[in-house]
Amino acid sequence: MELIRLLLAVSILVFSVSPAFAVCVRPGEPFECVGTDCDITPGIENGQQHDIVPTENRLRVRAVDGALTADESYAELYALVIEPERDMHVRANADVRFSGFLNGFGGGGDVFGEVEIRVIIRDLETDAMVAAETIAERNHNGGIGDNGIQFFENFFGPPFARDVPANDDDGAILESGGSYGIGISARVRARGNAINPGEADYFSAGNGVFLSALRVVTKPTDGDPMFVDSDGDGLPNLWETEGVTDCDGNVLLGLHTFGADPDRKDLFVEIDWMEDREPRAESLAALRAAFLAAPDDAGGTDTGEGITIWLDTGTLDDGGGVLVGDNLGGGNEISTDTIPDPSGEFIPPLGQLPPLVFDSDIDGDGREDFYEVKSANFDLVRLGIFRYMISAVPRNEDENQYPIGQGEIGGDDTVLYTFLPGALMHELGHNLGLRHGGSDSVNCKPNYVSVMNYTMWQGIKRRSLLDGQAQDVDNDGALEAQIIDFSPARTTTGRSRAPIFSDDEGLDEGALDETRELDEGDSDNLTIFFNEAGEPRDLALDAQPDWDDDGVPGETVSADVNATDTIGDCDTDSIVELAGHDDWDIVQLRPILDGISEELEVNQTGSTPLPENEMPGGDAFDDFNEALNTVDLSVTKVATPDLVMAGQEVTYTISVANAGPNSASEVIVTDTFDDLVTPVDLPDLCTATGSEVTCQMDVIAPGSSRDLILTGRVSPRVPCGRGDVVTLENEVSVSNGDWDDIASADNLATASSDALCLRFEYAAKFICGDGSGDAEIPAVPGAYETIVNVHNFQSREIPFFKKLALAFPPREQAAGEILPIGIDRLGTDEALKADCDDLRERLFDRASPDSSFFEGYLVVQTPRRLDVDAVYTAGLPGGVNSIHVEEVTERDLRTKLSIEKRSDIFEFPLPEAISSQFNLYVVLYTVDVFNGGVAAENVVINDRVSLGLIGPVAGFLGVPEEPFEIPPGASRDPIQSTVFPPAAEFSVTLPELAADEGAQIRFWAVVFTYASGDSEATSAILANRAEVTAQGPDTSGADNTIEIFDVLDP
Amino acid sequence: MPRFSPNARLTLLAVIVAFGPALPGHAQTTYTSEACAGLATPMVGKLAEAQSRLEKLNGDENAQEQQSRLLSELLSDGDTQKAISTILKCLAGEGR
Repeated sequence: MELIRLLLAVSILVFSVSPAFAVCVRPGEPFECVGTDCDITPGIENGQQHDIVPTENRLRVRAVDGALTADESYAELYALVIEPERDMHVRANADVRFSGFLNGFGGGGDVFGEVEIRVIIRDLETDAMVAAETIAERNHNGGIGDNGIQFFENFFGPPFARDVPANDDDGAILESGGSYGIGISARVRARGNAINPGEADYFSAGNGVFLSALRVVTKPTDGDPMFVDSDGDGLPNLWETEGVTDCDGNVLLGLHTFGADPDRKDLFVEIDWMEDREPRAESLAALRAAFLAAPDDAGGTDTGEGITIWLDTGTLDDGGGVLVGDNLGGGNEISTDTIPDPSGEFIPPLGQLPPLVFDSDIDGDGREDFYEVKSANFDLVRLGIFRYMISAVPRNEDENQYPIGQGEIGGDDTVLYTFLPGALMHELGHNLGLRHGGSDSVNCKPNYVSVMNYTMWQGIKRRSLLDGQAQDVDNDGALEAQIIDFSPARTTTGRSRAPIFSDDEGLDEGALDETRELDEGDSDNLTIFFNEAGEPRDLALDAQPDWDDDGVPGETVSADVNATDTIGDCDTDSIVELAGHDDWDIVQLRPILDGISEELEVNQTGSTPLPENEMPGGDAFDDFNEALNTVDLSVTKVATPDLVMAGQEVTYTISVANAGPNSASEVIVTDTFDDLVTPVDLPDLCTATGSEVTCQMDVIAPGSSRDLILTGRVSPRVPCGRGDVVTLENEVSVSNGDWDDIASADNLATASSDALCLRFEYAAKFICGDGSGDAEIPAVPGAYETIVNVHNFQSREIPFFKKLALAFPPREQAAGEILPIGIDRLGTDEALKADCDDLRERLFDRASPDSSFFEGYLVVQTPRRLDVDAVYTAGLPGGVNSIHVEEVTERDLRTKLSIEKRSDIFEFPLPEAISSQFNLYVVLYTVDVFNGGVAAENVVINDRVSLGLIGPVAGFLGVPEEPFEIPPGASRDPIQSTVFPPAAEFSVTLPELAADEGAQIRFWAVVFTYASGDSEATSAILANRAEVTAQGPDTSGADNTIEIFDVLDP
Repeated sequence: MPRFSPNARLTLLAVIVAFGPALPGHAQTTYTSEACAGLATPMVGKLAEAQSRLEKLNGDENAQEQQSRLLSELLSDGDTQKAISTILKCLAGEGR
C-alpha cells in the first residue's frame, strides 16, 4: 500500500506533446499503419500513474484510491500526427484491444473502479478534442453475483474497431496549418477507503490498451478552390485530370487514366465477388445503359449528358478473354482467407461460405464482417471515390433474409445476393440516397415508377417489347418488355412524369379518381398497384385506372393500392396520400466518407439507420411474380389458302388474346408445322427447329390481342396415295413464359389445309399483247391473244393449279418470273378458260406498262387428267389474221416405281450324325427397284423376312447387319428382329431415284431349323415381302410390292 | 470390330461379320456343297448336346417357341459362331 501511494505522488503531471513525426497530408490521401509499423507518439498524460510503451503501441494507466475520494489517470497515444496541406475532412479508424482489472469493495452501492477507452483526434495546437468515439466503458461496483460479493473483476476487451467521428456524413474537419494527433486515449478512475482501496489497473504486468492498427481517410472540403468539381459528380477536376496525389505530387489513384472527365459525371464502383458469385456482364451492360440515358441534370448538375458508370471488375473475363466489366485494377474474387470465419453461433449451409451482411461480426473481432472483407480487398485511397459492392453468398437458401441485397442509404457500400440488373441498380440507388419510396420508405407506391420500388426492382414493365428500349433484365440473353431505371423512367419520347402527380400532390388513396391517368404523356411504362385482395394489377401510366378493380370505370374510390401481404414491406394497411418522387433529380453522386470498419448512420437526412434492409422472406417475390404473370391467354388459328398446291406457300394467321387480369409480357407461341411444310420467312423473334417454330410475341395488354403470321412452303412432292389432296395439319400453343394460365384449355389451336397432289402437268405456250417489232417488244407488229381452255372429263370434281412462267419480260435472255395464279375447280364436264385479260387482271396491274406484252407458258398442274387446249389468234388491231388450236401435251409427273426380288438359297450340309434333324440354310436376297417415271424423292424400301414353321419344327432366322449392300447415298435403319416368331425387318432410304434409273440392295439371311426326330412331314417357309414407296404419287402401286416364298423342305 | 444387331440373340451374326464380311459376287458359281462340306463339323458336338434338350421339349406346350429360343441360344455359342462364319466365308468364295 505504501508503494502505491508513493507512485501516485510522483506521477501527477500534465504536459503537451510536440509531435516528432508530423506528416503532410493532402485531401484525398489516406494513411494506414499496422502494429509496429505505426510511429507512436505520446500524447497528453495526467493523473496518478501512466505511460506509453512505443515499441508495443501500448498505453498504460492506473489509479488507486483509499480515502473515499476519486483518483484517476489519463493518457493518449497517437499513431499519426498530421499537418493538413489544406482544410480537409477526415475519418479515422483504430483497431484496439485492452486488458486490465477493477478491484475494490463497493458493497453493491458505490462505483469503485471505472475505465474509458476512446479513439480520438486531438488538435495539438489548442489541445482541443476534435472528435472522439468511445470504444469501451467499464465500471465495477462490487455487485452481488452468482459467487457472492465481488471484489475483483477483469476486463479483457475483445478487439475493437471504431470509426471517429462516427455518424457524421463527411468526417471531422481539420484545418490547414494545424497539427493533429490521431490515436487512442484511456482514462481510469478509482474510489475506496483505507481498508478497501479502490483500484483501476490497466498498467501492471501485461495489461494496458493496445493500438493494433490505424486507418485514416481524407477528402477536400466543399468550396476549396483547389478542388473545384465542375460536373458535380463529387470528383474534383484536379483528380479527374491529374489523379489523386499526395503533398509531393505523387499519383495515388489515376482517375484520369481510367477515363474520368471533369466535364462529365463519372460514377466509380468497385465490385468484388465471392466464389461462384461472379458479376454478370449482361447486368453491367444494362446498368450502364440506364445511367448513360440518365437525364442531363441528374444529380443537380446539367452536363448535357447522362452518367458514365465505371464498373471495376478487374481482370474478370467471360471465359473467352472478353472483360466482364471495366478493368481499373480493383475488382477481384474475394479470397476465403479474407472472409471472417463463422462463430459457433452461425454455421453456414454445407459448402457455402459465410454470408456477408452488414452489422454481423461472425468472428467476434470487433470489426463488422463486410468491412473486414472490404478492408482486405479495397484500397483505402478509393474510399470516398469508389462505391464498393460485394456479390455475395446469401444468408442461406431457406431463410434468405435479404433476397436482393443490402445497400447503405447515402453511403458507399452494397452487398448483392442476386446479380440481376435490377438488383444492382436498386442497391446502388440506396447508395445514391434513394429509399423504397424515393425520399420516404413507403413501398409499392403505384405513383413511384422506379427500380427502388419493390414492385419494380426486377424491372419496370413496358407496353411493348419492340420499342427499342427493352432490356435483358433477367440475364437470359433475350430482351424482356422491361427496363431498369430510376424515376422518372425513360420513354421512347423522353421521360415519364415525376413526381406523380407533382411536388405538392401525391396519389390520395382516400379519393382515387379513375378518370385521371397517372401520366397521360407516357405511353410506354406500366406501373403496378394492388387490389383489395392484395393481388397485383399492372396499369399503363397513360390509361385510366380501375383502382378498385371492379371493372367499373370512372369512379372516385378509396382503396389501399400499395398494400399486399405478398410483399411484407408493402403491407401498409392504411389509406394515405402517397408521394411521388423524382429520383434522378436528387441522386447523390458525391461519395461519402462512410464507415471504415462499421456501418455508420451516414445519410442525407440523418434520421434512418443504415443499411436499408431489404424485404424479408425469400419466397415473397416468387409469389408476387406468379400473381403478376398469371393471365388468361387463348389462341385461334386460320390457315390460308385452305387448298394449296404442292411447292406453294401456306399462311397461318395466329391470334392470341389476353383476358387478363394483367399484361402478358412473356408470350411464347409454339407452332408445329406439318412434316410436309417447311417454315419460311420467319418473323423477328421467331426461331425454327425442324418443323417447330417458336416465337416471342410482343406484350399483350389485358383485354386485347395480337396476331402473328407464319408462312410455310409445302413440299413439292407430297405423298398422295390414291387421293387428290393431302391434309396438312398445324398445331399452335401459347403460354406466358413458364407461368400458369388461368384457363389453359384454349391455349391450343389447330388448323389444316389441303395440299393438292401433283400428277399431271400441261404447259401451254402463252403470248399476249401488241407486238411492236422493235427492240422493246420482240414480236412482229400485231395483236396476239391466247386462250387456254381446261375441261374436266372425269366423273367428279377436279381441283387444279395454274401458274404463269414468264419468258418475256424480261427483255434480255434470262429466266422470267414464275407467277402462281391459283387453284380452280371444275366439276364433271365443266370447262374454263384463261385468257390474256384474265391473266393481266390476276397477275399484273393493268396500268403497268410491263404488262402490255408478255409471253411464256401457262402451266396447269392437276391430280387427274384433264383436257387442256390452247387457242392462239394473231392479227392487226380490229381483225384476226390467223387462229390456231392446239391440244396441250400431257406430262405424267408421277414416279413409276417397281420392285423385284430374288433369293438364292444354300442348304448347307451338316454332318450325318445330326443332319436328320438340323438344317442350316444361308439365303442371299437381292432386291432391285426401278423408276420408270419422273425422279422420285425419299424412296423407301421396306423389307421383312419371316420364317413360318410347319409341323413340329423349331427355327431361327437372322439377318446380319453386315455384309449388307445398299446404293451410295442411301441409309438403312437398324435391323429389327424377333426370336419368335422368327423374323427380321429393315428399311433402306434413297434420297432420290432419278428417272429411268434403278437401285439394288443385297443382304444375307441365315436360317437354322430343327425337326423332332419322330416327325414326318415337316418344313419351314421363308417369306419375304419388299415394298418401295416414294414421296410423290406413283403411276401404279401394283408393282411396288413383291412377296416371295421359299419352302425349306429338307 | 463386329457390329451388333439390336437383338442380343443375334450376336452370332455379328461374329459372322467379323469372319466373312463379303457377299458372294455370284453365289451359284462359288458355292459347291462339296467344297464347303465338313465345315460344320465343329458344330456337331454342340448340336448333339442340344439335341437331347430339344427333344425333351417335344410335347410341351409352346414347344415350338421354346425350341426356337433354345436354337437361338445355341447359335450364340462361340464354337458354333465360328463354324457358321467359316461356312459363310466358304460361300462367299473365300477359303475353299
